Amino acid sequence: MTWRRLGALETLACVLLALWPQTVRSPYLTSVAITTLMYVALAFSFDLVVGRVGLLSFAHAGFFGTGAYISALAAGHLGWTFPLRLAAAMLGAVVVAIVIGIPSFRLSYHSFAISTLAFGVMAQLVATNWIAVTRGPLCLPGVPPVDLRLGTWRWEARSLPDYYYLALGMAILAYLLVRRLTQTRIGRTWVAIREDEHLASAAGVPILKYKMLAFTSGAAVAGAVGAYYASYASVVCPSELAFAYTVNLIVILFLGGRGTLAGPPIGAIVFTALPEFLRIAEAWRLVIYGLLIILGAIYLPDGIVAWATRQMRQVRRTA
Amino acid sequence: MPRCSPEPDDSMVILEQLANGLSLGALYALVAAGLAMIFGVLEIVNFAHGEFLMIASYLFFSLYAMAGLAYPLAAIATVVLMALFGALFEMLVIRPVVHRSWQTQLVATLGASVLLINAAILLFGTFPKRAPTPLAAQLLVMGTVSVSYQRILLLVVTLGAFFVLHLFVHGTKLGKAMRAVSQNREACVAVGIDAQRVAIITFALGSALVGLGAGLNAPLGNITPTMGILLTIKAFAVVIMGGFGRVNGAIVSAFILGVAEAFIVQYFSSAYVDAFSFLVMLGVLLLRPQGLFGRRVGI
Repeated sequence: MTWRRLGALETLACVLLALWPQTVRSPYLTSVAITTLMYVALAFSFDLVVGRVGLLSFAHAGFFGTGAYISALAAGHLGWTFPLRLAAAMLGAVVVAIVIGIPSFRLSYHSFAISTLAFGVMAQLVATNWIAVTRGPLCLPGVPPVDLRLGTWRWEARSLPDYYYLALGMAILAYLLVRRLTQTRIGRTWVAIREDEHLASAAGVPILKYKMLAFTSGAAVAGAVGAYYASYASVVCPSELAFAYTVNLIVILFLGGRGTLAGPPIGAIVFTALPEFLRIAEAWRLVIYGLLIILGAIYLPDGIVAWATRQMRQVRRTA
Repeated sequence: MPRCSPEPDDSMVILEQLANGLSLGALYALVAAGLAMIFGVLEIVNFAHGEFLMIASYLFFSLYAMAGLAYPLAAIATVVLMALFGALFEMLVIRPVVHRSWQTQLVATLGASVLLINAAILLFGTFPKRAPTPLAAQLLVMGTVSVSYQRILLLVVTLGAFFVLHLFVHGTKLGKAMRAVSQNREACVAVGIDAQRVAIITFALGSALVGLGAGLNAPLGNITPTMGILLTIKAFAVVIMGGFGRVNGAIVSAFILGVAEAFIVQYFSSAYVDAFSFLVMLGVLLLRPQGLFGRRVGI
């Protein structure tokens, strides 16, 4: 893919996003934007498994947490610089994905979901109880910031906008990766598996290999976001692996629009920004959030993107 | 560490843990049976089922500890109100998504779980509540074995409830309709069985079982808004072990899991006991995907 083929919409979005910290000048809004961008990257990588291959996994937050812990431990014990930590986090997440994937891919639908859910919960139990390594609920504090070194040149992310641009770069990279993967033979094979696994298998597609490819590439991205998060938050806690994160990702994908390129960013913006806006009604915030998820599932079962496309077509037809 | 009491007899420890495990299994069974029933009849995975127990426990807390009702009355009222809650849940949350893909159904029940947890935080706060009954503090002592009467009550009433459930499902017309719908929904609609009514009743029944679990188990421990999350997942583990949608299999698996957990806590580690439940479930899934007692089904 060449840069020329990037559409006008994408360029516009990038320019607007690049100006965000300068325009809003509010640390609060910038940190909300960072969280949103992290969710965008995570949702894109999660969509490889959920939207493209059509398997519902609950282990994605586990990959994120694995990356965060590996990065924090590599910094604390080995003093590695960020690029090394990033590579270790991605590799670690991929290894965990293979370990989870080998048994889980033998199962289908509900069983796959529950099996990955069990792994996700076990990851949090290990993070909470393996005190010798993770310090348990005391967390791993003092993770150094994102730093790059080249000879004597050295750069360190110090301010909130620095982290914002890193998150933006990460989200764009995740977007490009997913776009690249889905527009090639690999992506078409994934869709073939999603639409009819038996038919794809009969046509000679090595199902397991392609499922594993989606699972591990999703895990690698999630691990990378985890490594970034460890430096951004400078502390890693077992709660980073909580079930709630996976729920958020599922909601973002299903109500944004799974298997589309617009769904993950739109879902991430709506469902990260929404709870923040609902802070007006602080106590009721998450109750309303839950209610909106139910209403979304009832009225937008294919997600916001599919709904908007339908509306636009209708408007065009009547015009 | 110096021991104050004499070294307890090994067989006595085993008996005590067996009793604890069976009462824990009874709670799991009451939650898992409803989950299996709902999956069997509606083919819906209710991710808010553990939250039903949490809501029921707070309901019991309100009726017993706050309103001061007598214990049997409070427990029965919890069961009845939960049956209504289940019917309402089916009508408001499940029915609109019943014809959608299973992923959409799952998102809807996940949303319900988020809503219920946060509604409980809003109403009762995050600080644990307790509703101990006099029975919970009284111990049945036999030699060196001591078991709280509340646990015995939990076990006995649960077994009684399952016996009644068995009679209902196999003896009444409604129960037969439930089994018929779980076997073939389309054929039932064709012969004039009101599948929608069966769905409501299944939810009401499943929730009533959870209400019973709350009424019997809430006096034994803490009530917190997040108590249902792990329970949902464990109930799934049990339902999978029993063979998806098979109520009797789920009940037996629940007791096996409860007893196994009690012994793990006693002899191995209390920190990793939950991880162990999931390992067992994964093992069953891999070696016998149809469950311990199940026939092979396409799920």
